[in-house]
Amino acid sequence: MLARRRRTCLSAPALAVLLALLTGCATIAHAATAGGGLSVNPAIIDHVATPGDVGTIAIVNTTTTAQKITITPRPWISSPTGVVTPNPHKDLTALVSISQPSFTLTAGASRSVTVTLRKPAPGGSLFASIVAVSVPVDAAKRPGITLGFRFVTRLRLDPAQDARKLKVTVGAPRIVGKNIVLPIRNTGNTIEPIGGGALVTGPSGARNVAFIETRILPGATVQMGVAPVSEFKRGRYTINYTVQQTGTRVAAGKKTIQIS
Amino acid sequence: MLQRFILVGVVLALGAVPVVAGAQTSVGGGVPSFMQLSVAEPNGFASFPKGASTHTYSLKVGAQVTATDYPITMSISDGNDSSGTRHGHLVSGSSVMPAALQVSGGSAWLGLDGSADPTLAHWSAPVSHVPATIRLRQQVGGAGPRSGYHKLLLVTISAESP
Repeated sequence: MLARRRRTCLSAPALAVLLALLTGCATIAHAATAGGGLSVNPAIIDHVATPGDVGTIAIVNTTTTAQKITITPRPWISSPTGVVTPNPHKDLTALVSISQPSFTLTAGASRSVTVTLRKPAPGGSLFASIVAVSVPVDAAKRPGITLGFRFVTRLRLDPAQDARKLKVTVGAPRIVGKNIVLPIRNTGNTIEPIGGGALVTGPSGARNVAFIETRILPGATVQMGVAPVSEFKRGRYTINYTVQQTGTRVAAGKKTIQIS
Repeated sequence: MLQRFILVGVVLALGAVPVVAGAQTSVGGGVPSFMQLSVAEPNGFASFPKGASTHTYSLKVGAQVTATDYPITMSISDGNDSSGTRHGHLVSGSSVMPAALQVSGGSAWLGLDGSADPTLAHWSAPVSHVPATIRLRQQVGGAGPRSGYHKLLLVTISAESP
């Protein structure tokens, strides 16, 4: 029964990558001889946000030179579309520690570091990046172009089941660029994808739209796309929206927008 | 989470584990999320031929990317100087190449001296050993030293969603 349930969980792209990983050793070796590389495993640490060790990251150096590795937990910066980038000016070392934040990894070597949540996360959860930078130890002496590596991976420290809050606030619709958008702010403490849809009615008739499911950081606002403004005649429109998270309706209401 | 779960059946299909006829054991396993980046050693832009005329030199570097999670982007940044006049420029001692390095993942050329790291590629599905090319371009002309240049560039593989 367990096997059957898991079989249904396999996605075709993930299976393709798995097969390639299992059969692609020759390709890796070839790449290594051409200059080599670095790998991080896992690229997502997913754990309940309880203080203590939350995961281990293994770094493997397949380059032909020793690398200086630096690992830093950093908060995300969210764009209006929900795309995140690590904040280069802030770190989370007061909250998250890395057992060896900086070390030298010789050619062909690997090292595992432990990620620890030092104290309870504010709000009961923490979603951040772990940035691993790798630079050849002799980079300063090398002529011309030298390449280093930077991996931006995900730290997902979820709230305990009984502390989960699924909550959003919805702002007034507006036009951003060529689109009508609905600002949705995640006021809960998870990053479960937020989706839903709306019925837009007005001079152009009625139109159903579905929101693209988006992971929104707690406290962040995403301008959820409703529809291109060019598809509507001038006039006043009503947007009847429903916002869902994990299949649960977390907000519903009616907003109006003037298209001129 | 979905892509982390695999069946031993996949391994069985590859012939890695012998099949026992009639066995009813339910088993499972997991593939952790993974990122790998391999790049060729670049060789160039340390020195340029002497001459008065302006000339543009280019350099290509091959890369391979594997990532089980998505969406991800590959971008590039100046690993030596994050701001100031040296940001995005080749340097030779105290001299700074007047024109900024330009980079491209295959379409538009972007200056490395901008406020945002130029994006070279984007993938919205898992990738395995997918090839990518990092193109570099440098305009050289007029005065200034023609040798001793260097620059550390960081190639970034980054998750796009939290």
